[in-house]
Amino acid sequence: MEMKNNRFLKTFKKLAGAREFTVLVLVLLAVILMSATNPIFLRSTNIQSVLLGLAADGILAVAITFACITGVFDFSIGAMMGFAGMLLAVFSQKGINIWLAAVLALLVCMGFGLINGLLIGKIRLNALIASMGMQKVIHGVVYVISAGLPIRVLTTPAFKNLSQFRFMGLQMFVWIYFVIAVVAEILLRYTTPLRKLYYTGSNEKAAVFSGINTVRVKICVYITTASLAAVSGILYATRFGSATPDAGIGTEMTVLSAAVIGGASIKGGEGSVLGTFLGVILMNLLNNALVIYRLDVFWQTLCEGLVLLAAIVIDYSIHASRNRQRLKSST
Amino acid sequence: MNEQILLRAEHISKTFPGTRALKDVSLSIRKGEVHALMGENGAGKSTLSNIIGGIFRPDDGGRIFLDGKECVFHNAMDSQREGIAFVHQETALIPALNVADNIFAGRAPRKAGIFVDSGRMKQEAQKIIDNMGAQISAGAMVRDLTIANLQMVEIAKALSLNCKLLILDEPTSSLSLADTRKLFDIVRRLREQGIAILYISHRMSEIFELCDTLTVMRDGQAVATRKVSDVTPDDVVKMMVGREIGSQYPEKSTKILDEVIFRCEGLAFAPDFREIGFSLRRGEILGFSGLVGAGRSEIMEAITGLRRRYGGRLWLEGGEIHNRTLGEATRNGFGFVNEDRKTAGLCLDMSIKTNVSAADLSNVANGPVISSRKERAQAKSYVRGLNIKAWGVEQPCATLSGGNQQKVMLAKWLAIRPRVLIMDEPTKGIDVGAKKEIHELLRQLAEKGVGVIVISSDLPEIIGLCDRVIVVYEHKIVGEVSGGDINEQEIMQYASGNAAVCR
Repeated sequence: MEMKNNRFLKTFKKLAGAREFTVLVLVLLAVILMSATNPIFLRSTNIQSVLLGLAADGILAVAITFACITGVFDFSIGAMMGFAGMLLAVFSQKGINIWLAAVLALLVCMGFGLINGLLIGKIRLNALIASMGMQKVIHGVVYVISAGLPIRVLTTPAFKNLSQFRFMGLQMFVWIYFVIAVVAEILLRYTTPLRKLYYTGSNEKAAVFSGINTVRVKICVYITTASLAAVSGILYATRFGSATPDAGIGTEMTVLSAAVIGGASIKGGEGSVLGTFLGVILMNLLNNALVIYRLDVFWQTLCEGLVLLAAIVIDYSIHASRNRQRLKSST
Repeated sequence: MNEQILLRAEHISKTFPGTRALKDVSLSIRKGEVHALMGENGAGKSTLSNIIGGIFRPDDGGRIFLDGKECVFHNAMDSQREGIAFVHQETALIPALNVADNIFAGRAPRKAGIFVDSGRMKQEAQKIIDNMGAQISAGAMVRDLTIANLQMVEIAKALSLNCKLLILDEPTSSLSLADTRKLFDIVRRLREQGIAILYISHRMSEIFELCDTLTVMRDGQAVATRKVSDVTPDDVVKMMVGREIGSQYPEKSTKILDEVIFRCEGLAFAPDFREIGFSLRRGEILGFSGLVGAGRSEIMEAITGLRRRYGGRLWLEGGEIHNRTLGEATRNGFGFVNEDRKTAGLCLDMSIKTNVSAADLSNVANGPVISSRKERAQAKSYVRGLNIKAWGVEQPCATLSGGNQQKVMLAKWLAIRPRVLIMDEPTKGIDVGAKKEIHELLRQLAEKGVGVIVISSDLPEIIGLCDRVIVVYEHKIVGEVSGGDINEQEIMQYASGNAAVCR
């Protein structure tokens, strides 16, 4: 009995020590607080809109989590998302079959991801600057091909039905996000190729000296982040029936905050999709709170900025305290 | 020797969350003495020196007196102001500035109140450097300096602050023999000028050559302070480990077979470099000796695919292999434990478990799927087998001591079941106990038929451990000694480039 109790306690302690647990508690607190103080929160339409926002950010958040774990940045994903949607719209306008258009849009984005990977992984440009440069390039291309105007996605009725399809009251988009998140989490935790992301992010030199081809790892990561952004953008454009030139812009910072809140380290080597998922929920609840408490929409940017800074300060202080420990252990 | 006491630390204790790093330590340092601080890793040497250097504060009750006056240091600046300078293992100089800028960083002499008087600064810096007997130009850029000279600049910086006590933390750990000599000359000169030196080192021979007094620490306590002339190295080892350690090195092999495990020929790791060839026999530990920078590590990197090869062929157990990448070398059974466990060896923030499986995940996976159970079991077996001191396989490597980190790195490469195991500086900066364990393990591996290659700058280690020694000088193999011929003189003859190039 004693033993069993102990083991339970140990498991509980381990759980409570994880970052995901802290964020989960915060999420639950926010939900309780919001549903207790505002009747709008629990309305089905409100929950739906929270979930939709969640899914749109969520897929990009999975992408940024991959980048964080590998110890690199990809700030081009927001623009990439808009780009994919715009490509889909343009291709569909040209009379290309919508399915083929989606595949083509995905492939073009993967190509840009490959370029990111080559610039940052192979040529070793600074990931922050290079991906920001790519963000501008992609956003620029979107402006050029759309002339700055929204473009309608011409779709077939079958495709449209599918995109409007609901299961258990939730939209297709939300389900696809859940599937992507769960699959990504399982792959990250339990497969050898994705474990290499952690080694590369934690200590790239040590990874190289363990026989890991970190250049290839980084290239693959950038192709993956671009693909995820493309999927998100394609879904987004189909859901709303049109692509806007500024879709996705700035989302990369929001999802970075979410990932860092969820335990991903901007230094690399740490992070989980589950943590990021909870981070995204927290960010969306915050946004929702602004809406349902009827605060001015202009507050949103300020709040997001503050949350990002707070998350980075926490990340920094965790690493600083760990370094102090390290100093101690090297006595 | 001057008998006047410069620094007295009394009843110093230090508690970190979860551990008691120091327990009631007292220490006196006299003016103009070189005072050695010895002890295994984790004995409390660094904590004590960090307290004296003002980086940590002692627990209540601990007091520090300098020249009889009590001092309370809140940070490193405070202790610096009182004349205590700390030269750390890792230098903290600014590479893009010149030597004088670094020496006078933040306190440059001024012209007209606001402009840096760089002429005067250079002159003064040069005066300090010349006084030390070092050969560095004050105008040289720091990024162009050798490691040895970086250390000299750090010392010069300390002297420019009129320091009375200089703390040197393992100053020779990355120096070649010649540079060590130079450093010793400078330390002796400073001693003559009345400066006290607290000298932290693992290397016994240095202590007996250089130091006047030694204090041995064990488990956070000062076990003894003795005059160096009153003790023998064996006494010191006994004090450090608290027990008899027996012979320092395992017995050498008596059954080296003629069978060659690994052979390379015509190897060059840069264009127009001399070709390198050697063979490794079953049952032997093959040593690579030479000065730091002679190219020993580079040879091993070229063999294991980490460095581009310009020609050369490799054979493993008779069959030709290519080792184009480290991954390919690993699959061929080559393990390479590199010398830099902190920056290039371990993922420090990750657990023992994940580090052990880093070089070959296929061991702990079914196809591409990692089995948590297998991974834990593998790590557990190595933690037990190598006697790694940790609370569990999930412990982050950053919180392990140097010796245990080294063992984790070794475990990572043992996990690939190597046919050839290469260890670069196998016991650099680790304590006596762990050192002995690693030596014994290498011997056992050799006896089991694994080819073992050891690179070491620690001559006693090469002499004590290896059955055959290849000496490298300026990227060439210049000599080979084996059996009874392995001694310091013979090796140094080759390593310093004195002997005629024989190959």
